[in-house]
Amino acid sequence: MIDQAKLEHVTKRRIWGARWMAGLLLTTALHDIGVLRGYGNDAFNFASEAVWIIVMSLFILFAGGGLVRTAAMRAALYDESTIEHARRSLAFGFWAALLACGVSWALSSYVPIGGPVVARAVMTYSVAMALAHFATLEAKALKE
Amino acid sequence: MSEALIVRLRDARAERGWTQAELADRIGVSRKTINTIENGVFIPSTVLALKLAKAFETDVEALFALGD
Repeated sequence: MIDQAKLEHVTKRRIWGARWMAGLLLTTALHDIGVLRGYGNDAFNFASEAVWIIVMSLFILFAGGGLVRTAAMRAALYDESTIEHARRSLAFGFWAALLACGVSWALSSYVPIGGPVVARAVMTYSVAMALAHFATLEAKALKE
Repeated sequence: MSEALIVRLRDARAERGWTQAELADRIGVSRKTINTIENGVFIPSTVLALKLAKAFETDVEALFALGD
């Protein structure tokens, strides 16, 4: 037997976590291309990386990963609709990456941006988009 | 493909007086999955369709059908 109320609670927390991580990653992407102030500042970089590691750990342990849950709960957390949403989110992230590559290529004609910076920003942006899409699909699925 | 699938899960559940959560519990999935199947957003695998049919003690065709 699965505690459906608890399962729903964990799912909602996972949605919240995915949105939070997407926001954090988008901020990181903006930071990478130097839009945000603090670019190149070691203290800023360290703080952002520390927050990132803490949030990721909490997310994996207590929400998304369900590592501390029972086997039945973990199975229900990764049931068919969740796997389908993850699959669709990855496809969404792929198209987001292609779009970001196109935009970066167009921008590179006008703005002096380096390859490593663009690569990091594109990867971060596409993962953020995939996470945001996953959160949206999961939130929609919860609504009756 | 999803447009062509007729899902009668909600009616079958209502006949039994089960909530989405109760049905989800019987087949070991989340209520979210039942909700997405009922709304036609998600097409379940053969295994899950068979589990649903078993829970309702009926055939898969009684729950899912192809539209014209």
